Amino acid sequence: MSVTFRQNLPLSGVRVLDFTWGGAGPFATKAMADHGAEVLKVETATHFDFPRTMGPYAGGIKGFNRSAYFTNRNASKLGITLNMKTKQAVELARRLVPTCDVVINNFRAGVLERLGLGYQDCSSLRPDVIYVSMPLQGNAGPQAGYSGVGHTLNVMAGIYGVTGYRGGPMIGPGTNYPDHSVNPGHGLVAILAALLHRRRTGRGQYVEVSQLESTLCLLGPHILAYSLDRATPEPTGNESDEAAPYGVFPCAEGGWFALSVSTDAQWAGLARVAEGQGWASDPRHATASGRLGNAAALNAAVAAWIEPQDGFTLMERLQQARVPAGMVQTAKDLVERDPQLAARGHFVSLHHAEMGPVVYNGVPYHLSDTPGTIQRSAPLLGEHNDLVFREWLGVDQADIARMTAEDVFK
Amino acid sequence: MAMTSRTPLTPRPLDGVRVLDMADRSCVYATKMLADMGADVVRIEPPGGDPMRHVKPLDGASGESLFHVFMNTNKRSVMLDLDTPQGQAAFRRLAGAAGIVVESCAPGYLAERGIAYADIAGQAPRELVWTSITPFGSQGPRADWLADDLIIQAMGGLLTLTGLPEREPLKLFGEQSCYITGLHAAAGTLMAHWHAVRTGRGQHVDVSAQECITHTLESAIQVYTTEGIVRSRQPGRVEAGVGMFPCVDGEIFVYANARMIASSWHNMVKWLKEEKIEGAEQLDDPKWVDLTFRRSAEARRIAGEIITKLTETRSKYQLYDQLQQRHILCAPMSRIGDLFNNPQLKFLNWFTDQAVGERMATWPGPPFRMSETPRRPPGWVAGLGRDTEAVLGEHGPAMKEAAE
Repeated sequence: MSVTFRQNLPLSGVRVLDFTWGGAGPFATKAMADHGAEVLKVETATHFDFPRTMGPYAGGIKGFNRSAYFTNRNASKLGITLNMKTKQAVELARRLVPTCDVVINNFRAGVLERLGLGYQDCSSLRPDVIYVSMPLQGNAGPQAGYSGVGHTLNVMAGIYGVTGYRGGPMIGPGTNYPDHSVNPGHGLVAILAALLHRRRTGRGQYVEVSQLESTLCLLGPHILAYSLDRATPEPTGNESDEAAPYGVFPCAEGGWFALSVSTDAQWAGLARVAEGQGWASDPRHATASGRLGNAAALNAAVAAWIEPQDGFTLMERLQQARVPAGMVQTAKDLVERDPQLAARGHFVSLHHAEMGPVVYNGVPYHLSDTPGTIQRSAPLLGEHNDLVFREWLGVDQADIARMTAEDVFK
Repeated sequence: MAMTSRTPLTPRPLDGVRVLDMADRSCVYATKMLADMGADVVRIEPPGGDPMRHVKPLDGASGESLFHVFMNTNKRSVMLDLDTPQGQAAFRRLAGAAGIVVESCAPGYLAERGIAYADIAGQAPRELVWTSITPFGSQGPRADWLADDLIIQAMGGLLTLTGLPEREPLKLFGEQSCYITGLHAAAGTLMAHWHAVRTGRGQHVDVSAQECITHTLESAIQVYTTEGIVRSRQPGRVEAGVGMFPCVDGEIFVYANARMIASSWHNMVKWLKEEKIEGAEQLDDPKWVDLTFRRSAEARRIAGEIITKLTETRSKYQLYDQLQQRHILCAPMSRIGDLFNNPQLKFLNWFTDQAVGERMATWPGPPFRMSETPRRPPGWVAGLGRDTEAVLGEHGPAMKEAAE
């Protein structure tokens, strides 16, 4: 089987040995693969990358090659399998290291070190390697061996403890929030910085993204505020002391509508669209301080005005009047009726050998000359073993057959 | 002298790269990343100052914006009035000499003044990378729509996933879209810069904050496109064994989920029985691994009562250690003040001290650690226009006059 890589993308010619699994690490390496890097995703059937086994599945039918959670994080990559419980698999991984610019993992502290694939080992195999470790809480310390997922990180890193409705208990994010932007994002930025440094100096380096430390940066200004003034943020829900009317209001057909008016010009736009409403012509509302001073009553009046209206129509009218307003869009709205995302080609559909057409999130940043995009479907388990082990490493057919029988590629 | 230990022995990744920074509160985390990695980031502020200087939280003593402080440490400040020909000419010269421009101006704002990418790219070095960050992207039918943190979390789909089912969707706290958008923008900018360094060719990078949010919805898009299910808000204790539980000094979050990492639930049941917690035996019934039952109000209530009997007599860090030793996913509830006492962060000496104004403050440490090129530690925050004369002076006497 042959695979062609586009040579004119920003990361063309960069090869990554990718031991990351789960949510956070794979999104970092996927962005690299979308922009031309050759990313070799290492998996094993003895312990599936868990998104393969948690769905959602194409057509609702279970199967480790059918999970769209997995495909959305692993498109554009090549997939190989190595059963690292066998010495020969470890040896094959070690033979790949000298061909790779970046080696990355998000295992618990010490796992790859015990296999002989730690930074010391890899940098002796390839002196300028960029070795990236993304442990939960760092590779040393009293909690280094502890496990977690995005939901526990939300709690540990404080974002849960500031997110709630006013006067109520903390609710926290409804997702494994740090897995989806902050931790892959910091990892990716660090890798790109390390590539730039290597180009200047010829030197690789060790990069550690403690997912706890990375996530804590989301509260940077509030950490400063606490250290200076012992200021502990109380939950504020969808309230603001800078804008009124402001909030999330019910609209027709069970929808929700977000509105944020902070300037007099925006207020004038809203008042025009809401012509005839008493609150819109109330002189107390002509200034920002007047609106903020009467925010509770104003929000209630605006809520009653919004409630019977179709939110999609209303947001068009308000935006035309230069008022920041928008529907709380669901996944269905985003995929099926958002003309902006459609015009920008945000969603990409590719055919997958077992799943049929699969919808991927595209790249949120568009490079004008060398745009990244989904390069190929996410790999089936072990799809590129033959390419990588036989063609690239030159392992002969007989050895491959023998090692297959010995579960080296399981 | 303290500076000595902070001076790296090797260059930082972006040393010598000039960045012009007009990123607002919707995305400024992008240029913070570049400044942390050594770039010479020059913030362009209007007369009267950057509106970000008023974004909360504020320093209780000085009234200074700590959002602005956190985002703009180690940058220089140049004041330019882009509504005047002199200001526009100065901007043109600075942008033409920069390696990277990052701006979040409304589409058309710079073009009206003759200082957009299209106006400057022709006279700038070919390596120039120009990143435009807007709520909905520079192109498309809604390119000129307006949004702030609330509207973009709504339009990008994140709001549908947070909050209680019986209440309204809930915005994440504290300008989260700035971090999400900023990180995507930093990555796109660095990819384009890497390409420029290798090939000599710069380009435009068009970042849509909405797309950044839509990329941050876990698998909600795929849940809909494969199974036709529209994901929505879920109860706090979404299933048996998951949720916040009381302990003697606060709360512990337990994630004894039976789907993703099933062993957490089984290990939890085993420990409850070892501790002879009343009612634990009934959790052996096979119905407790059935997801539909686990999500029922009855299952959540019964499991909640049993687990509470175990947690309410212990401290949260005691529980954190004990649950982890038994391979049960969990985390101690952490309000902001608790973060400073996290033993792991203390051990790794993560926080760093640096004055803000007259007072010593504790800052977050680095988001990632690099062995050869540690980030620039937080330092000074420039006052409005502090570096106008110096920066314009680097570009010849005519520019210096424009500054005066």
